Amino acid sequence: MTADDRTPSIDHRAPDPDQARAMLDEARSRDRSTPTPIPAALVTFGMMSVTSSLGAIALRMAGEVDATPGLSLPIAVSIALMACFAVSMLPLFLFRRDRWRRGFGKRWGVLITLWSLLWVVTALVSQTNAVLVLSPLFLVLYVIAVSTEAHRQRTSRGRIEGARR
Amino acid sequence: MSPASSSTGPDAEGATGPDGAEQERSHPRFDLESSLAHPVRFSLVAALAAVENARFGDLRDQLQVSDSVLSKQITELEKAGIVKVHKTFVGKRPRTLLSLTADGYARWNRHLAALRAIADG
Repeated sequence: MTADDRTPSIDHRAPDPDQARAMLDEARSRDRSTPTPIPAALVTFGMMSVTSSLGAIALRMAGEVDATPGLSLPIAVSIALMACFAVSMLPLFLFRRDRWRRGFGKRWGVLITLWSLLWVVTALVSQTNAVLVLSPLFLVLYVIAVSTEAHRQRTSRGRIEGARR
Repeated sequence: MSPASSSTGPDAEGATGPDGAEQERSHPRFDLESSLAHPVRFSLVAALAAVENARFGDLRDQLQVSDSVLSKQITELEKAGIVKVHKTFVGKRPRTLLSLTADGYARWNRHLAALRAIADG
């Protein structure tokens, strides 16, 4: 077998600089066409975070109000919170065809785990002033989540554009 | 055909003399992923690299290709270990989800780096 009979050389397939730039443009446009830089799950998480933050304070205040016959304020607040959490879930279920950016699945798992832990601790100490410290942490968690996604989006595009900038 | 152009890729031997071989391998074209040479496969992997996963129908519409063309290219990428296919049922309707493997994602990034190097000359 002669050299010419071999599998076509990679040089024949290797793009020239113009073709390489065209391919990078194609990759960049595919990345930009990713339809959901802010997935519905993040909207849900934002609503849950705000609800939790205000709900923690509401639970604390409910314990301070004088008892009203036939009405338990802590229970009423808890029911209202459950309703708010249920409504928060709507975007997640209504946008089931939502496409998540690469890596968001893992980050979503971490976020929900942290939120759950924070909520359990908040519920346990809801009748103490500790909720005043815990309440803003829900908002901090959300700010971290949104900032992380924005950063990931920028670095994803930067990875493709790289030296072209 | 020049000696360099008779190389068949990173694993090829004897394309150049022993002294020039190492220098020859350092050219970015050797980092190009041969499985991504096909334009549909390139676009498919580019689309999948940005997301966790995507539905077959969404990709078909996005890439503007027929079911059969997309299916054929997915099979090639699956054989190459770049794409993972998950088939599920929603009720009685089949649903095909596609995603990049971890190795596929790493190879895609190497391919992009090689293209950048070539584009920069």
